Amino acid sequence: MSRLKVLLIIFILIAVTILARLFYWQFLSDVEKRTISDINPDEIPAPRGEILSRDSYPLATNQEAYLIYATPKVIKDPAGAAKKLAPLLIPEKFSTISASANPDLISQKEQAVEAQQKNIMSKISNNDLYWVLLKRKITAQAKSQIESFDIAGLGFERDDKRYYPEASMAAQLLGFVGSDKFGNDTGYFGLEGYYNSILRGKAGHGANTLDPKGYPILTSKFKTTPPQKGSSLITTIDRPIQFIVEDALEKAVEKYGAKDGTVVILDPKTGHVVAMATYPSYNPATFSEYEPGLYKNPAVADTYEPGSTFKVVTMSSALDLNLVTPTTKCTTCSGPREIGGYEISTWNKKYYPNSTMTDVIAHSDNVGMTFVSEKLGLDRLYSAITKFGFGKLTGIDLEEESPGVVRNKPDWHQIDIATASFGQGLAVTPIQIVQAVGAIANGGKLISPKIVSATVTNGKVENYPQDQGTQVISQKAATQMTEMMVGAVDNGEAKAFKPKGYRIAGKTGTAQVPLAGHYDPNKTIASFVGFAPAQNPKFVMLVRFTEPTSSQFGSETAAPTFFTIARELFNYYGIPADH
Amino acid sequence: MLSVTDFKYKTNCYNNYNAHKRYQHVQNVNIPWESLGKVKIKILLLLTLALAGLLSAQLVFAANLSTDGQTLTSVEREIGNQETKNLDLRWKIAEVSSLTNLSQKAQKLGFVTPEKIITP
Repeated sequence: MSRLKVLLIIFILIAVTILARLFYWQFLSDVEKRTISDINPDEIPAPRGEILSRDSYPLATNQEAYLIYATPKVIKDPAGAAKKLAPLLIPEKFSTISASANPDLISQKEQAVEAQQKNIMSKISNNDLYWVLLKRKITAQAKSQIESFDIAGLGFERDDKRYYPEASMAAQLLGFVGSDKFGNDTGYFGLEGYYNSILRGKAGHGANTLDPKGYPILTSKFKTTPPQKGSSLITTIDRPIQFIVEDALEKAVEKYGAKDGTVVILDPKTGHVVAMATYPSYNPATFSEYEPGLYKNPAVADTYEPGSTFKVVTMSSALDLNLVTPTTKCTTCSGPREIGGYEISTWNKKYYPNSTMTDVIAHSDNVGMTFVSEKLGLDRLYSAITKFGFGKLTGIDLEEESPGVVRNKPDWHQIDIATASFGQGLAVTPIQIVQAVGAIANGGKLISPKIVSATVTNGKVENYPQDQGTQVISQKAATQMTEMMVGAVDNGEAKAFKPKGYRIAGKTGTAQVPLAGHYDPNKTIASFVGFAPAQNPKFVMLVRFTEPTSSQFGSETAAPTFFTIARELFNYYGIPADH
Repeated sequence: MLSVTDFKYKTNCYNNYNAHKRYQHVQNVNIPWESLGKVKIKILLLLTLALAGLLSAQLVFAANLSTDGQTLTSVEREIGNQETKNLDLRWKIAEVSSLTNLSQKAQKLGFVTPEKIITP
């Protein structure tokens, strides 16, 4: 045999070997099974940034979790698989320690398992489906248990979930993480919604050329882009204070039989939100198990007639314009008044002729406030209302903020000027009231409230600039108003609940709820707004209850709650008594 | 004087190495182009060897490159494992140090909220 023929045979053998190998990879190897395990092998999800309290404790962080899917045609015993999987794929609320002691939840759990079993069975017994999603965001423990069953045809993908270590604490403030229409994690409501674009980070891209075993081939086209973790937020929330407030609020709402309650605490000098709580609340980790009505944050989204708490805005504006002084006597306070065809009376039908402006605030005298509103007139009253930030957004960094309702000036009538002076005929949000009273506490300077003070990106801290504020009334007027509010606390209806020895500036409010063109006589919104210590305020706080049933008045519901929380704050901040 | 045919043969020898050798043998004449032909062969040989060497090196590198993907995957998997452990520890720390958890433990241990304001 010639050498050429030998060479030819060698070439043919090599070619046959190559063809045989190609045939193996194309038709016989396990490439198909590997490929379906990668939902989107090219994209590497970015971890979401955390939300941290002032002391860098994670109020919202991430937890290892998985997506479980099935390949129906590979599963040999669908019924058996569904039976094993169902108890591990029911809602998390049935897996808590408290759930195991709750008879209602135990019976609900059995029903949930049964329903889930049917659901899984319908999915995995359908051989027309190539790939079917069973559940997203199951825990690592559940994954381990499922893996121990050794069921062929099941697979997992990393699908981290949001974890809130303090459960429902500050839920309305934080918001929650759900999915958008593409199945990507997206923040909704609160900080999660407002800062979603910087919390979510940027997905990376992996190698798209893989060998049959799934390893990347390092060709010239090999290029990976690592995911960029979302920025973390450092908030101004003081975790112990938030905890104190939530605890006190829950007890108070139950004690006074209120529909709901809200507390907001700000640092008046910086506008930083120290605590913001609402009860009832929900757990953001399992948000879908709660009524959607609980998602929005009443502190920024609810509008209500502020009632007597608004008197401090009217009075401080009149003081600022030197239209009245704390000792100016009311010449129209001897009895009810008729304005624009309506009778204006006091809340308790008691009248104090020749009472001073300080007395008007202390007695929460509606008739006295009409005296002040007449001094102001429409233009100056309207200007004061808008200067204090009512009728527009405060600029707080939360979703769903409402601007409230202040009618256009041409729509105001004589009666509107009178009623607005004591907080009727306009709608405000709790955060607007706190912001306005914070301006009085801060020497007349109005500061936009803020929750996030800095962001952390790859370990680099970027501080957010602080609002310099706008002087809305003079320092003198603010000091005079503060003293009048101290008098209102010391001599008002709620003086019995006040911590002894402390100078606290405050004002109660009891607003009736408008209903079909008139006020419901049995439903009120009771509130108390104030700050302490009066001479150098450390905090400004609003307590608000919707429709309390034990008493309709703010002095008997919101004020005691305010003082209970204030007492805890004096302890926490180490603020000594004034005298 | 050389005949025309001789001249043609000689010219052919100049252009063909094997013919040249035969011509040299027949004529027993020392041709000055002999050394030049040997150099050409050596260059060709060297180039062939270099090409073979480069091809072999490429094969070796390609073979190594194919296993680097596996190494890279194992390194990335290890990084992923460590990050998962880190995440796991972080949320466990957050869970045990949550105020909700601490207050429950404090209550069990008999701690109570102070009745009076205690300040320095």
